[in-house]
Amino acid sequence: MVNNDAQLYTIEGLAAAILMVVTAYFVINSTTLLTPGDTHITDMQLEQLGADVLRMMDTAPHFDPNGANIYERKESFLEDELSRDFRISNEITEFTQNFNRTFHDYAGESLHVYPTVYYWDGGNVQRLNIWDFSNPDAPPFTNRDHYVTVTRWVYLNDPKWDNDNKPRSVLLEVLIWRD
Amino acid sequence: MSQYLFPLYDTSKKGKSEFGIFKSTEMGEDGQLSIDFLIGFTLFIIGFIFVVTLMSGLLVGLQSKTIDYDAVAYRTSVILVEDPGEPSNWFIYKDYEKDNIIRLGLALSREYPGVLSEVKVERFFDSAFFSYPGDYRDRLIFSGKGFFPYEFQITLRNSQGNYLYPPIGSPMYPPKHGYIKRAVFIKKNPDVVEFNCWGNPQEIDIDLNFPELYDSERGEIYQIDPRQMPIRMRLRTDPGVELSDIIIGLLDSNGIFTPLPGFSSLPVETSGGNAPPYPITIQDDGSGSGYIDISFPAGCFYDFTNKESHVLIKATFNSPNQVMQEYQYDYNTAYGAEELQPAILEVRVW
Repeated sequence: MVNNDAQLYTIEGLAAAILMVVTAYFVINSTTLLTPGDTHITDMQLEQLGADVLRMMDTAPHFDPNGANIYERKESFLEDELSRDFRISNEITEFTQNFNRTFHDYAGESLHVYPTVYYWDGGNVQRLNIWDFSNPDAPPFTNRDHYVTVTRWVYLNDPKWDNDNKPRSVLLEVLIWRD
Repeated sequence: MSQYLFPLYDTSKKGKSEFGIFKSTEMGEDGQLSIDFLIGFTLFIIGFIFVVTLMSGLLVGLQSKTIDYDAVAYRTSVILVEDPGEPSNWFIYKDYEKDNIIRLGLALSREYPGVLSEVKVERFFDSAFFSYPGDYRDRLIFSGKGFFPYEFQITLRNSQGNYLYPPIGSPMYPPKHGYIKRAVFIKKNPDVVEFNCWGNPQEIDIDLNFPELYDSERGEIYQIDPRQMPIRMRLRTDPGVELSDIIIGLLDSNGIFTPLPGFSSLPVETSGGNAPPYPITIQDDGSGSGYIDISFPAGCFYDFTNKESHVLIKATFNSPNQVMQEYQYDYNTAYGAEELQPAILEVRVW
């Protein structure tokens, strides 16, 4: 029943109300949510670094005048490594170690990477398994990590994993994230 | 009702006016604000705080320098890593020509972004040539007069994290700053090429075969560029030979040698001292032989040669042996320029 009888002393009530509201405001305001909108700068920095490293891996570090053809004289790390016969598990293990080591050397820091290769077989897009998850240098990709994606087309003159044994352009996609 | 809410108080002593306002001198339960008012006031306060929060941007300074540090750092890195600079051979400019340098880019060329030229990198980090911050602000950060005076730091490290050159800019930077990290290759200058010239010949000819050096199959990224790179060589001779002169000239397609004016009595360092003056006796440097170091700085041949030129270096000796030795400066003798060294470039702006 509404009447003139108060239930709180006036000033105390006013102070209590203000105190509760301000406290609730501070509590709610103190939490920080990293929304996708806030991460675009750090994502861009990591993407740029990843793109730089892939470009370096796709550039021969030196010219080999003894190569049999122009392709072998300027063969890059990626062209060489992605031509391995990935049907053999040992080749996958070696690729994982070499890719990790070279990526870290060029990037100047330890980043987590997960590369995949896609190619067109004339009818469908195929995915090549090139990563050894049992390697201690290759932490598992949980799909909950905040990663960025960098891609690069790589020309392979003689991919040994290809049954047709013909030159191919493959799409290398690398997921990169930090701890 | 009030006796149930405040059982410790004697409600019989309260006095009220017809408006419900407590007028007695004793403490009573009659409030001056009703619950309705308190609720309404609370809602008003919440709404007011909400509006003020949305409008908080009006209470800070209007200068937007704090939000674009990362953008300035990224833009600077793009100019350094992907742009050859303007003009692209800015590194051969002398101190009095510095004002003609419009933009400082370190890339070898537009066709090879991410590959830096060592000769450009050496000049860029040369604190005796460029002074911080003015020279860099005008030609790289583009924040000269009238713009916000950004401070910055630029470092170049190898894969192990060691500085390749002393950093440019302030050694200390605030926690809040713009940052970008780029991974690059550095195309190295050719190493010193050594020619063994035993037998005290009367003349030694060294042919810089430009057409062979500008091998189109290698491409700019793996070539030795004698018109833009420093060329250094060492002639090993028997001790005691007397060097009478060193001249440079051009060899035409008919094999006719034409000395270049101003390129005689070339300054060289030898194991017998510096020349000129000529003649100079080459002493034993302790290894049983002597040496003559010939160095051409970057851009030395730029103005009077093209990619089809043949530059001949003639070293003449006061020798009774009428013998002439010929050597080629090419990819069989010169090394180093075909190697790409990985490095990390970091730019911080605040």
